[in-house]
Amino acid sequence: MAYVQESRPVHDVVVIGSGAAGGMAAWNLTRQGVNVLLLDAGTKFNRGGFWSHVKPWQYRERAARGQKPPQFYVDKKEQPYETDPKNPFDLIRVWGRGGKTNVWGRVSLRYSDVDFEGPAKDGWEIPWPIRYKDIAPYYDKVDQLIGVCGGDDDQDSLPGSKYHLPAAAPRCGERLMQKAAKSIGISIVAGRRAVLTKDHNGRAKCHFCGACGRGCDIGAFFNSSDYLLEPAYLTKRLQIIDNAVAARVLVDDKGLASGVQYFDRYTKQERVVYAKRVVVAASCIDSTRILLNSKSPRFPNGIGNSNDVIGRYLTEQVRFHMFGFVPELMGGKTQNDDGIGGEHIYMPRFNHRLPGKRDYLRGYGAQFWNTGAQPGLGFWAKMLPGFGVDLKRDIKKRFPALVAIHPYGEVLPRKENRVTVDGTANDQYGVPVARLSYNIGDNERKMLVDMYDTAESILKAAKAEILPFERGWIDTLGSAIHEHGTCRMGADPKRSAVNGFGQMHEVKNCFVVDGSIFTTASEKNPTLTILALAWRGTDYMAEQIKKGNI
Amino acid sequence: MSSSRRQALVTISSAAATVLPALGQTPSPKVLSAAQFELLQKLTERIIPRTETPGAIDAGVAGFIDASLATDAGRKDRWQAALTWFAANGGDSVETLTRISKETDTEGARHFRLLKGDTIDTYYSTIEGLKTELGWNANTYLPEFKGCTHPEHQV
Ligand SMILES: Cc1cc2nc3c(=O)[nH]c(=O)nc-3n(C[C@H](O)[C@H](O)[C@H](O)COP(=O)(O)OP(=O)(O)OC[C@H]3O[C@@H](n4cnc5c(N)ncnc54)[C@H](O)[C@@H]3O)c2cc1C
Ligand code: SF4
Repeated sequence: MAYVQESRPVHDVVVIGSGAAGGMAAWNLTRQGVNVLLLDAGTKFNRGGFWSHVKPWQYRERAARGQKPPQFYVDKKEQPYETDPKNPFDLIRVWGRGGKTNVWGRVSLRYSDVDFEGPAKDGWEIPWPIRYKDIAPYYDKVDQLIGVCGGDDDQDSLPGSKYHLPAAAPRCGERLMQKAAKSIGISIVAGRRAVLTKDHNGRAKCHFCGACGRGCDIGAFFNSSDYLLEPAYLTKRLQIIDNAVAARVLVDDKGLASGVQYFDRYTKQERVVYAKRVVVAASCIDSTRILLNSKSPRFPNGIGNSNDVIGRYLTEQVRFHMFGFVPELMGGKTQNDDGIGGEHIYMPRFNHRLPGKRDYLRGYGAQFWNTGAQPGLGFWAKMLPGFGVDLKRDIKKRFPALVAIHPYGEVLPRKENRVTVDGTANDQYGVPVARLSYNIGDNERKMLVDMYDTAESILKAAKAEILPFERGWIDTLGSAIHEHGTCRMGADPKRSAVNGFGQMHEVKNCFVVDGSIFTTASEKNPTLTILALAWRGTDYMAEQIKKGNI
Repeated sequence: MSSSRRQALVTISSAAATVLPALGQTPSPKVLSAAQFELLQKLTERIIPRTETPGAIDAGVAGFIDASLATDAGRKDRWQAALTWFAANGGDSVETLTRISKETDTEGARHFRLLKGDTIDTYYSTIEGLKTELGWNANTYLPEFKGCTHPEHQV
């Protein structure tokens, strides 16, 4: 027996997941000479088969011929999770090489010290163990590696970058929103987006087709598969096992991570790989599920979870959408408003600069996608009254004039907002599924009042005809797709699961590097910060390996 | 109908006659009966009529709705109920449509929302609705994106 155990291959590092977090871990470790075995729950998406240039009417023709676009999103029937039907959480997952970065919105905002210092200042839950100065060099490196376009109009809540590619030119509607906001003292800056507005690192620039949500046929926006896994592969130090659905991190009798148990997604066969170190990067909820399911005599509550922190403090952002039509563009000529797909502008958080005391903590920013002549107009066209010639004319008149604002507000981390794996429901491999219990509280409801006031006042300043909205309405929880906090980092091992490098306090050879390690969610989109933290964390990991500490 | 409105319609329809072919023959439906399909065509045309640009019938809206019912039992039931109701309540009568378009909680209002919603979603994703009517010609390859170049829109 002893002989068999010694002869099994023991990998330097096993990484679980190949999205922004896992891709970065694999890339950064392999280039530093570390051999990596990566387990990914899916396979590579074939860029040649993306429907980037299929027009809306061609979609129907193709569907009638029985063709399907690439199926990026995980079917909940295949991979279930549980949520309160009265208060559902929409968990959106992409399994396969690159994960959600195949279809992500590319908004790439640096966290600032307004974010990192927030909890230390207001005393809500634990402070971040890092500050902007710790992560800034990594933001710089990430910007250079992946290519982020943007302006130099940075603010205290939105640090700039020396490495931005040229900003995408705002559309008419976006200019008018900027102008309107400025007239009431709110500044809307150039959007920061991981899209190549010029050729970059040998990659061709964007051709402004606006189809990014269907996957880019030329890879002109950052996705982990092309930008991280492919170069990592070339080092010959990366091995990938596709369709490997990780279930548990194994723990040896010293309490260290010793490998990963996984199931083949389709044959359902159980397999085990052994490792000297494990990096968990399956995206916040899937990583948390794996950690909680990794029960052992040493860690009956899940690996590294003696303090019952893992799974708790699930946080995201609360958001809604408001639309209007600006008079300057009503009845005008329809323009090609595709640009780099999604918004070219961003409203950074400003409420911390306003005089007077707020009755809530933290803040909100806003995005502006869906401005101008965009297909998929049904949602607003149906809201116009009547039918017939008048309706047809009213729709045409408004088509070029659509403006939109989508505020995102920070949700405070709360102990009771959590992921559990109580074993009442198992997946097709017999592994307990995640149950998500999550709600917003008074703080967010108070912030929403401000968010609604701001959105409405900008649209009013633009003299927009505002589409009817229900004040206080929020989008389905989870729909921001920015899950955080369930394996949070902190300096105090009693109240956090990992240190500032994503290393588990209790299990030194196990690192977690995705959004689950964020101490707070801020109001911003996380991926740039996930990339920077994963780079920083795996730099530290490589150093510890070299020193023989792990 | 006000006289100016009628005047406008006359102008539009005479313009249309020069550009567009006569409304096409009825394609054979997959799910609905021939009578139901004919009514559906008339109803969709009431929502988005032919003007100087194509209307719902030109764009084949009823055919797309019919085809979509083959794979969605819930929608099929809703449409069967709606068409039965319309058939019993004046068919594609403008008076009925005007009345139910102003109601909120009635059965008629529910059927009207289905008709209007599906007609809009379908028509504005056809080449006739999106490209010919609205002038959308994007999702293409551009060497550069200039954005807003109007001096009067600048901040
Ligand atoms: C439509 C959309 C728009 C978005 N817009 C933005 C935006 O504008 N800006 C922004 O910052 N973020 C945006 N996001 C979020 C962004 O995509 C994520 O923050 C980012 O991809 C997270 O990286 P990740 O590596 O943690 O997870 P993912 O990218 O989801 O990758 C997870 C990886 O883990 C693998 N995996 C999962 N479970 C297992 C398992 N059990 N075993 C093995 N492998 C597993 C998956 O196959 C995948 O490779 C958007 C997301 C979507 C879907
Ligand atoms: S707009 Fe640019 S980045 Fe988006 S799909 Fe088209 S080419 Fe790719």
